[in-house]
Amino acid sequence: MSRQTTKVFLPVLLVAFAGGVILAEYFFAPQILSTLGSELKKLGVLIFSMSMIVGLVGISINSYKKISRRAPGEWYLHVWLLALLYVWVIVGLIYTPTHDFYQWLFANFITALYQAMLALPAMSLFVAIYRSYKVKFELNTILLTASFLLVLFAGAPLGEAIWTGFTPIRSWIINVPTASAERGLIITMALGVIGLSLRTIFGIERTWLGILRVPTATEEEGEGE
Amino acid sequence: MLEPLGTWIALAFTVMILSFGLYKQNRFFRFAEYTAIAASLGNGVVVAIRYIYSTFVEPPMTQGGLSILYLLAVVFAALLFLQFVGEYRWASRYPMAIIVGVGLGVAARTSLETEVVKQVWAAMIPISGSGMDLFNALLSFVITISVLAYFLMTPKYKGNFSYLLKAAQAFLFVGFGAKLASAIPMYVAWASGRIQFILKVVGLM
Amino acid sequence: MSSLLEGVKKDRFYVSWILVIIMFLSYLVPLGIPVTIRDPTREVYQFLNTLPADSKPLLLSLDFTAGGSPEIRPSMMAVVKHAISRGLKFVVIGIGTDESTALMQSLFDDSGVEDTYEYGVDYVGIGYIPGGEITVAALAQDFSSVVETDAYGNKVSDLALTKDIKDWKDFSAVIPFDSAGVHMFWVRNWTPYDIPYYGSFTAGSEPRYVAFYNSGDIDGYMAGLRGGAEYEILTGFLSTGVKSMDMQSLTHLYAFVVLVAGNVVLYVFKKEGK
Repeated sequence: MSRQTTKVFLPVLLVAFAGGVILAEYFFAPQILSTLGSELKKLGVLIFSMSMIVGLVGISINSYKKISRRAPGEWYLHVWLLALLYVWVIVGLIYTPTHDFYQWLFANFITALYQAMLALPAMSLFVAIYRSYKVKFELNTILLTASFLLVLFAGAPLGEAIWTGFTPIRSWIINVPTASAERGLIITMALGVIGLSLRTIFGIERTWLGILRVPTATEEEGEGE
Repeated sequence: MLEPLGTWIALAFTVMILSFGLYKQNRFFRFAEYTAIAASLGNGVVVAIRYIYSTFVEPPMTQGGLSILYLLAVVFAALLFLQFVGEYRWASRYPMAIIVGVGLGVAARTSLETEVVKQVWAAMIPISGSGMDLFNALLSFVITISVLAYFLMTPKYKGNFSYLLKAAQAFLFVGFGAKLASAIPMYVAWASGRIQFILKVVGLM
Repeated sequence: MSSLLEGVKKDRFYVSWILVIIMFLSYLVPLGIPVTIRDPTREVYQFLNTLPADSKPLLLSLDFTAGGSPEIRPSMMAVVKHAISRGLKFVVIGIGTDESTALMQSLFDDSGVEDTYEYGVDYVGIGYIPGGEITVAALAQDFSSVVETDAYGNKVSDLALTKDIKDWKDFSAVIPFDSAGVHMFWVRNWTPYDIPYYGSFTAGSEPRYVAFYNSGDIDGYMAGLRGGAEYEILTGFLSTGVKSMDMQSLTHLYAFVVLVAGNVVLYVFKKEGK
């Protein structure tokens, strides 16, 4: 079997098979398609969950490289990362995620860290509005600003308490122009997704393989992969 | 004893992370950042291992028998790890092919019904009635058509079609303003979690 | 004017600190501004308030992260407490993030469900199921193919509530609570079926999902923290959602002030050629 067959053709054929069965299962009735589709989905879920463990291996290799060459300013952080990571995995396998001790770890590490992390974009957004939001006297900017201010004021109870008119205006902006524009975007993006999916399933789109074009046989002979 | 210790740990991490926004990049922030990565990945691995064991390992062991699916799953899972072995990196394309094929198949089949057919159906509201109802129906129709034309037909910037383009841009900007205004409560809500925590720790809430 | 220019260079710190101070003050000095209830939230409430107690279980999907929980958790907590008060059974699952299992346990602990309900009969916590959209699609058509055990190691085929669940027909409604950006998976894969669909998502996603609400795919929703506060008021289970509304009002006002201040500074310095 040539390299091109095993490295390119067979994976592409596998995508066509998996995608084809999933599509056919939705539109056609035979039980065999339903069974095959169900099994493929289970396989897909398993491979998806394995990716976490692949991530563990990947980050371990990356951190090990940084530690072994004593990357300045960060090698000790990688030591801490690996230590905490493996301790966490061991603790999590001994105590289930529903155990009180794991809940304690989760609340005081993950919840604290990520809630604080997600507080940073709020500050950045306000700084961005302060620095970058330039109100110019052109139609698009005026519409943007008017829509922004009307929805902003009606979005919180204070605005509604100041003037009850904000609420119906906000409702109109959200339900008519925004929803209609969004509908156009949704249809366009969905057509793009369907197009990309069909191109990939039929083997025309192969960027997921990590290559931009299929190499010829002579080019392949010179390649390491 | 664990509870007060946990509170101090959470408070310390909160201050370390917020120091980036309220002061500047510093070592404590980087330490907290690496801690977050380790904890989050650790949690993900724990959950994944437990799921794989309970769904794919324990049933064959307790019920006996090996299905073809189980064998395929073991083979494909092993192939995923070959991406770290330079010469055999291409072998990880096989399990990726399953994910890509199944994922795209699932996305495509339901996109057509939910995001295309039903949205087109919703756009085809009768342009009738009077007053605001008529105005809203007409405006919705015009906006949907112009935005679709803007993205699908890429009308030219000159000539009569440029008006369609400019109209679509104007309507999109109205939507962007609404989206920006909707993003603000989202971000401040996320930030409020730690604010409430700090207030509870100091006994003010 | 040069000191003002110096101040402008440090504007990032002033803007951020003032925001944080405003948020702190809003919790310390509550204004008590009344919150009006919007129709989409009312529709969720109406549905759950009229659903008979002996209905099929609700499918609640916990798809928010620990970071996003301040925004979405209030609505989920209010819905869970409402369901308990009405005797409605529910199954909690998570597909958006691997933090679902731990967050689900925290939700059970804080809602007091264990004091009122019997596990396995009235409620089941399955926790996180990996796979994203593949899992959501599989859940609708063949539930047991991707759900073998719950978060506590019990087989779902042994639990009274879940042993007969095969597909979407065995649920009375599906309500995903999303901040992880996976709500579209549910909309795509569950709305084609004839099952009541309600949702809770971030405020920033509302403009997107309004199109699906208007097309009838989504029967009702709670948008962001405001949606959670509205549901708390409707059910009477007042908590962090309602308490945070003053914070939201003041930060919105601050956003307007920041916008005006930024443009004033820009035009002042532009005029001076700086």
